[in-house]
Amino acid sequence: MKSHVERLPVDSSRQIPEREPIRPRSSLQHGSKVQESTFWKPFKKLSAKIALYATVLVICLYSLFPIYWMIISSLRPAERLFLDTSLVFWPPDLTSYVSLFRQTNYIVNFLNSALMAVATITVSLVLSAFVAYGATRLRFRGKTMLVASMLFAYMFPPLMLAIPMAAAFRTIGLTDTLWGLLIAHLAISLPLAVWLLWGFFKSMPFDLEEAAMVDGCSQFEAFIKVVLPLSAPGLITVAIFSFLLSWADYVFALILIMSDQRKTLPVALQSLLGAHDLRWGEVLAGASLIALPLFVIFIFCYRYFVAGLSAGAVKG
Amino acid sequence: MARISLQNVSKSFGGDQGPWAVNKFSLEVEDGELVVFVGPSGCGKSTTLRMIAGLDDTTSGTITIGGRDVTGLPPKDRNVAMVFQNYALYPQKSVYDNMAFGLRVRGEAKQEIDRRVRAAAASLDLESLLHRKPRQLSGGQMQRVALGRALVRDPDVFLLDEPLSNLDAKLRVKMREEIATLHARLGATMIFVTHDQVEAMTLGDRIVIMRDGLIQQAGKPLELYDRPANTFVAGFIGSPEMNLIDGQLSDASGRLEVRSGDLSVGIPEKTFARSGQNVTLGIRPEHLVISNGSPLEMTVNLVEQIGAQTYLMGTLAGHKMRAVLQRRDEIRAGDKLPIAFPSERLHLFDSISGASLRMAQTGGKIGVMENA
Repeated sequence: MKSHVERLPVDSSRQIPEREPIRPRSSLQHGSKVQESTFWKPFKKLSAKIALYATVLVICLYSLFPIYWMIISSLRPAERLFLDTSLVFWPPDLTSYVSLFRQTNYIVNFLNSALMAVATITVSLVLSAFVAYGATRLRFRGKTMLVASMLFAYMFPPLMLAIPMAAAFRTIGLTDTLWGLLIAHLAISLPLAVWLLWGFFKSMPFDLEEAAMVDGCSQFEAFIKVVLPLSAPGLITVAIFSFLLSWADYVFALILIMSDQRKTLPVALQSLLGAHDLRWGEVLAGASLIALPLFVIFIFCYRYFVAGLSAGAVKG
Repeated sequence: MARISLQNVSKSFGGDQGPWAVNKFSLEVEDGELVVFVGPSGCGKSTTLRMIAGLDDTTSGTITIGGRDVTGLPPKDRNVAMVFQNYALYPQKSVYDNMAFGLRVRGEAKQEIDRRVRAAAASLDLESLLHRKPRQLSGGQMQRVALGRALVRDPDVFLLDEPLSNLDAKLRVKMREEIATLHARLGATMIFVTHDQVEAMTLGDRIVIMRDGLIQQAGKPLELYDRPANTFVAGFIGSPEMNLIDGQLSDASGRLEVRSGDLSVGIPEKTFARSGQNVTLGIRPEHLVISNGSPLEMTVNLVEQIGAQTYLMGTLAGHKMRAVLQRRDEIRAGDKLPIAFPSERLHLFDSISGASLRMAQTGGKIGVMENA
């Protein structure tokens, strides 16, 4: 389809010179103008394309280079870290990683992060699916306002939410617990999840559920058996965004978690930075490991990631 | 199969006070009957169907299927099957799974499901498509799968909500025949909703014409054609539309006639309309005849050749008229044709209420249309 569309202008430009000889004299001047503009047309298109690709390339370099530098630096032998600036080298050296695992609680912190991420994904998926479905299928006043108001929290920087949360958690005994952190992560992930799924369910025809209900399902069964399987792309998008929010969270973990045993990866990494001798090799190795799952997810699920960014045109 | 009874069924989307989408709808659908609900969009026909299916609540009234009051029951407990306008096939399931879904939900045995799906597929010529996904099917095939999904369930009632309106004209005729055949073979109770009067006339054992949530008339197709209860039905059934002329009834030396401007048409029989009453005279285009010596002359403005028939549009004594004749090649725009109104084909309606004056009295056997 696309190649067909792209081919069209070329065809039409070819037709015009062919027609030229049978044009009346009076239109010659006009015809030559057409020819001139069509002569430059491919070049203009080409230069526009080159400009576009160049811009994309610059943006990609700009955002990807630090990540690349982080990864190769983590694989450089520690003694050469500040001497060697080559962009490619071989063989990689895993000393920094070994040292990271030996000297820190990396595994525990990783498990904490993973636990938070999985719990955030699970709770967000289940709750947001029900809330969003209810919001699309039930009729009540001020529905859109209500759903939109859930995004209210996004108006504030996380720190502004984290501080009152810390105060509230102290009174109910959730300070320095992973439960408290989970609640904080859900406070951010749930509204976004509901918003994404709401948009998704809205676009799904009622007829399918009604067909299922006539076929013998209750509304709940129709939701589980027909709506949810069809919502897989939306659910995957929600899962990805919940994961990103939880996995990359630094502020909430910093404010709400104190003991080393309960720290998640980003905060644990930060404590490496705070030590008296700054071990860049280990820090970069730890950061690379934090980024690793993100790469994997992005490579396999970027389609849903993009879908999530465009759905409802909310913040990314 | 079962009998359906609707008693004073009403539906309002705005509470108990109306406005009424369906207003005091009462109807008995006999076992094995195919009833067509027809009317313009927004007339309440689909809402009525959805209330029978249980997809919409009734605001008041009762619905019974097979003698069982189902008014408050959810759709799954009514044993009805429904075919939707846009087919509503489960996109992620194969044709086989689409048809099997209803049986699986009801916990039928695997072999029984397989037997019934294959039997339904065979009867609808879907056997070679069973493994396909809906998106790989044409519109006609999707419609057949939707029918098959209804068929395997062996429901008490089939509800079809404008099932043909997404198909192209040719396929629509073919599917219409298939549905008629299916109905004849199964002897199932069916309710078919459409806005197409041709579908209604050809498919229905009985037609219910609705407007603004009210039943205008219910009866056999030809009954509606021959004896429309009001001007709305008269205009809705039959194509091209019936000619309607507003006039006044007057007594010309013992003989009643309708006068409208320069036009006067004699009414042969007695009617319950009184002399002086404002009436609407109706005659179908296909019932107008060319009769040499008739004092009424129609000026032809437009000639449409359909093939077997010739459609004329013109004016007669200042009134716009349509006429349908057996093929006449020689008629041209601008011709003046002598036109006669066969008295046994005339309809008479009250100008204000639109109600037929032959049915204005109980008993209804009187009036100008006795011979129709």
